[in-house]
Amino acid sequence: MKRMLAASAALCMLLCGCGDYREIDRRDIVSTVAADRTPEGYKLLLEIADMSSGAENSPGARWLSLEGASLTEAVEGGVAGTGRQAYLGHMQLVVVGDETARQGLDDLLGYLQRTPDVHMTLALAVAEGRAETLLAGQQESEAAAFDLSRAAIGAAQEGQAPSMPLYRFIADRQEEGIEGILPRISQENGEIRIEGAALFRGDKLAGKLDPDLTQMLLMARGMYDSGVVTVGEGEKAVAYIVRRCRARQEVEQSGGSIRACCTISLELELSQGGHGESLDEDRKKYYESMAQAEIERRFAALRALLQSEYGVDCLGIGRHIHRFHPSLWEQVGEDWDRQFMLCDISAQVDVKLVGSGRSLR
Amino acid sequence: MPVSVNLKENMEKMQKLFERDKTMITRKVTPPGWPQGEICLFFCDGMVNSTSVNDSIIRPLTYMAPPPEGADVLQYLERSVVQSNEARQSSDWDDLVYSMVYGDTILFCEGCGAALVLNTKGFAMRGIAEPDGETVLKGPREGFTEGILRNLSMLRRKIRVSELKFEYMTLGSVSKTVCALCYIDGVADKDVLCEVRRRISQVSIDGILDSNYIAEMIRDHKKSPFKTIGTTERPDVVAARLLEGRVALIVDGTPVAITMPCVLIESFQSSEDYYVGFQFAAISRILRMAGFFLAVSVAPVYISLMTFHAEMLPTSLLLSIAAARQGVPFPSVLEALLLLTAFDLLREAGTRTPSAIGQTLSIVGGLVVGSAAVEARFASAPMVIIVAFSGITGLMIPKLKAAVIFVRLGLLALSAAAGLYGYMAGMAVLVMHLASMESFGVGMLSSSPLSGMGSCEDSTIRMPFSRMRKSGRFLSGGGRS
Repeated sequence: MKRMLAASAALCMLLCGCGDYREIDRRDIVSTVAADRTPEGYKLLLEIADMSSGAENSPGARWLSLEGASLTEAVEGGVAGTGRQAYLGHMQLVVVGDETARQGLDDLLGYLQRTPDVHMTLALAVAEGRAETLLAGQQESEAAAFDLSRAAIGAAQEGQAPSMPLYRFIADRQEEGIEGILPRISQENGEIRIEGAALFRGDKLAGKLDPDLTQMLLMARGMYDSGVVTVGEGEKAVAYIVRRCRARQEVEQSGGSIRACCTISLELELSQGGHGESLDEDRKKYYESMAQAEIERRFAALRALLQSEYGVDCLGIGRHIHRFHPSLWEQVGEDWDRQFMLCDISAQVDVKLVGSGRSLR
Repeated sequence: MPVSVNLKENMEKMQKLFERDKTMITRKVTPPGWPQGEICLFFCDGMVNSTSVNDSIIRPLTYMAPPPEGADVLQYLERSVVQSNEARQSSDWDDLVYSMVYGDTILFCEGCGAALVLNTKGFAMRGIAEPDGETVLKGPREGFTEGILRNLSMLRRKIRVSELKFEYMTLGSVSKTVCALCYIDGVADKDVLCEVRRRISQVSIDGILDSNYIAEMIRDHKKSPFKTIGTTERPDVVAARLLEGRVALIVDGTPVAITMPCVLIESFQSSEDYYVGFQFAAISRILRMAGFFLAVSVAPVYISLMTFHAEMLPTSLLLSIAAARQGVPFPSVLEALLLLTAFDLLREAGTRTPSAIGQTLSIVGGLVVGSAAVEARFASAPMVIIVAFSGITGLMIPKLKAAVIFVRLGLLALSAAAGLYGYMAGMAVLVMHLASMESFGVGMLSSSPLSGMGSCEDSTIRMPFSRMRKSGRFLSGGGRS
């Protein structure tokens, strides 16, 4: 019995990665990576938490520029320069340049998936221009990664940009009938802005959406929880706070064409609009129809862009067919990119005004 | 050689046996009109009650009338002269010597082939006090002392039935230590009782100065750090355990009684659990169990997370710990081992020093040295917190002190080698070890020493007394045989 116990214990020891023992203070804790493809391979700019600064509230940051024929070579090459191994387990954000995204992200996704330390919840984003240039502008910041993470979370909460952790993007990439989207990150007057979405066809960047259409896309995909919808401009602007948003898709084949309908149900609170007037039934109907018309207009614009200009099914119509109409998918799946552009896609928007802002909550 | 009828020969024998021993006192008495001449008394200085010897033995001897003609002289002295609560005749020299060194007075008389052994015990003994290691806020405050008779009387006062048995035995070929095997007839498991008797009969040792001498020799799993024999200094605890069907052994010369069998849950029980409300008792008991788990797990899990699975920590916590570790020259494992050793050294030093110095030692050791070590970068502040937490939780269960140290060390080594895999493997081995252990035929993980007892009434939590139907405390209402 004792020998069996000893053997079992020894066996358990073999199951682990004994070579993984690494002191945390002997590693470079990477918080952000900017990745750009170059003719020779990859160029990376790493933001590393600087422990030696000793600041208690903010660890400070060091910046490390690396190059290599591959991502692995670039990252491992950093050890030679610093004597410390880059630790990617607490990476907050990976930003890729738009040119790199156009050439394809499979290399990067593969590397992140195969690196055991990497959290599958880390955020991905596509930069306007080169990622390195964008991040280099943040070198004055003590902890750019954390600022960017907070900004990304805020943008996702407001529906200005998709919240797209690594695992979700990979899932979309691997699933049939849907294309991935990533938040866009840009720099204006030295300030970083995260808004809008980058649309992918496979692993390659296919197009971009502005914040309004990104909000619409997220609503149609069922990824929108809360935010603000503004109708009109200036003094006549009416703003609604979205309390609840539900989306449902239905697909049917009639004749030789595929008809898809996205049903979007919104519960809104009136936040800005009118003054001193009571919110009676007539006024409620007025505001509801105003919001409904705006959402339908945006959906039409989104549909036109996705079907006519970019030709990418980021709405997930194909995924719906694949899941719920497998026989139809057998017919159209092979040629879904072309079939999507021929689809008759409509939206049914149900808006319900549940209160006038503060009075409800 | 038996006692001689010649008084001179007996005196010479005694002188020879206690040669160069100045504590042996010889007192000759010549009663008026005594036909046999002298009577000789032997006793040990310091072991007898002088008043008792003077007033109850020497005075009656000097005033007594001569015995009737043809009467048995020794019997006459025993029954009509000496005023001792316990008197007997003995002709065995070993018995006489043993009785004398234990405080009895030996009376030799010319023409008698035996001696009188008179109870005059009166050695100094510590008074009854609350045991330091088992203090309670509520409940009885008395604790055992070094005198076996006083200890037995304390037990007898708590269990006033004829079924409470005290079986005397003398152990230790040189120390001749008196021990009493205590149990309640009809409640104690007969198999356990027979096994205890058998193991005690096999004890062979020169001297027994404490009950642990016997406990170590009769226990199961002698190499395990987990005790398979319970110990206590409290008579109420022994009484409760007897009522639950256990067997106790009380050893003369020590206040620590041992009880058998012992199950693991006993280590988390306190006598106070029964003297306060059951809700509070349940919380206390769960906290003690959590304390043991934390004491053995906190340091290994911390090492695992820091060296193998840093991605499991929240980023802000990791950054904070990494910043605190800057400049510390030792690997985390070595740092943990050094600090744990330092903690145990301080604890040991505190235990062995007088309480006033002990407090100073704790402050100097805990605060000054700890803070200086962090400032000097010998250790990181998070590690000091982890070790302090681990040490303090270890103090919650003093009965598992040794087990905590060994298990923690083993888990630390496994965690340093294999991270959480090693830790989990170590915990699995620990559970297997405990599951394989027995104490006098009872599984260590049993909830009660008696088979058929309520399994959940008094284990992880204590039920209210009104719902304890099968516990040993209520056997009289059930089927006490």
